[in-house]
Amino acid sequence: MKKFAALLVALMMVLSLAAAGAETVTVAFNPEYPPFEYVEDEQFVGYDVDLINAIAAKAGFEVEFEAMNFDAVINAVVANPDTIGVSGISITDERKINVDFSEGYINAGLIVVVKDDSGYAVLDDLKGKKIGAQLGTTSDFSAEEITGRDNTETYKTFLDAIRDLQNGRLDAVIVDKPVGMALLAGLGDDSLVIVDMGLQADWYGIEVNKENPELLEKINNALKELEAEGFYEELAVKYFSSEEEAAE
Amino acid sequence: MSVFEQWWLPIEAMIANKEPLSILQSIYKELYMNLIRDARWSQYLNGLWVTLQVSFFAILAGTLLGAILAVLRLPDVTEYRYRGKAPIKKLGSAVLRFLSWFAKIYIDIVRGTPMLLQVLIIYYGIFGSVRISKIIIGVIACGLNSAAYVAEIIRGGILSVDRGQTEAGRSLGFSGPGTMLYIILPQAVKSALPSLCNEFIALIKETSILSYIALTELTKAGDYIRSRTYSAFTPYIISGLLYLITTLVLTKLIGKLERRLRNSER
Repeated sequence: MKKFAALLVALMMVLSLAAAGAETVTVAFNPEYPPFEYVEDEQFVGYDVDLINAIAAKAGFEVEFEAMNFDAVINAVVANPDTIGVSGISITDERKINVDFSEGYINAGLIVVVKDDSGYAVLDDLKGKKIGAQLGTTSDFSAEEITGRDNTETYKTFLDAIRDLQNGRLDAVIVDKPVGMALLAGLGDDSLVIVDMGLQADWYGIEVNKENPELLEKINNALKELEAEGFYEELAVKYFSSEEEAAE
Repeated sequence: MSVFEQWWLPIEAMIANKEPLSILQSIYKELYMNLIRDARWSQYLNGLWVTLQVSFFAILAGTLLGAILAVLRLPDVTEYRYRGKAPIKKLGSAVLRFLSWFAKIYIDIVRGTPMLLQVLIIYYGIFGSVRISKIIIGVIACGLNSAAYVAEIIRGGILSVDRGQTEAGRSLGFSGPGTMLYIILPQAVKSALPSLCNEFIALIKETSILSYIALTELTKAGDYIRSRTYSAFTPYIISGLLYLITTLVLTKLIGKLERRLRNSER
């Protein structure tokens, strides 16, 4: 019993020591979204990863990455004041009721993926057609606007939607421009083409728990500094180098 | 402006001003956003309707197929060998033994692999380029899965019927299949009913896996609303309550059926 008590005391001391160090912020994200966040050589990399590391360095906190499904990110943020969501998340008015967002840090635009022989070139071609997108992304909202809720099919991941486009269940898939470019390049399917129909995306923001306004302020200040330093352009060159437009 | 909106506006203003909400206001906020706004309640009902359709037809298909599999797995079939000279009958017994072997393999594979994988394989693989409604694919996937479990439940029911019942049927002039269909199976189903009810409830809940193939059933409806409102779990609670109501109604109905069937025992 005495040994057990001693162990308990030791454990508590270790824990309190750990807590006394620099503030650690958990980053909830879904690393299946290149070039924003993905896994390479068993490391988390991507635009968002670099961004949040730079923010952490400026604001003086440590980050710990936790990979999860895209739809689990919001739970993690709502449940833990020291967890933030950085996963290519669109800022919408309705979402702001339940979580706070940082200032938008990128708006990369949307592209449409269609079959080579479909001949779809402008948005009007897509009216009433079956459009696929990843659930809860800005592409999903956009598809609903174009073709209506009943014709919008939402998937857990973008690749599932592409699978159904290949199988002929969908007429088009909408996706963030850099993400679509990166994933399609990896897929190597010549029957699919990318069409830029000039679709506007929502801004991406960092999701912060409502009970942690101090953290939100730190992040926003860091974002402002990084923007002034030209860090966004650096990231754009690093991750979207194949597309000059995104560097703007 | 509806009365719901009138209640909502001051709360929305409070959130914008970062004023703390009372518990009642928080609950109303969740209900308004996840149920009332944009008539979202109708999306749960649409999802429920899809879930009910899939479940109903999957239970039907699963029970029919399951009963067939169960009979094929009986010792009368697995061990049956025609030893006479008639070649047609010899061939028939070989076919029967093959089917019984197939039934065993089928049950082993379906019970031994996760349903999620089965659904994904059926959707992206087997029906990959076939254009049929997702509801039908859902019925096929869930029905095929459920059949394996139902088969074992009904087989248990058949084995629990006394051997004397078969002997009585045969000596009264029923054929082998006739004895099975009219005398053994009805009694078997009766004694298997509680376990079957279990399986039906499990099936209804497992249809939620179909959200992985972008079928907008009840779970997906909750997912969809959650992706809009960013509520952590309220849509799941609403979907969950609808599942609960569905399974409670089913339990009640089967309970009634059980009592009815027991009446014949007197």
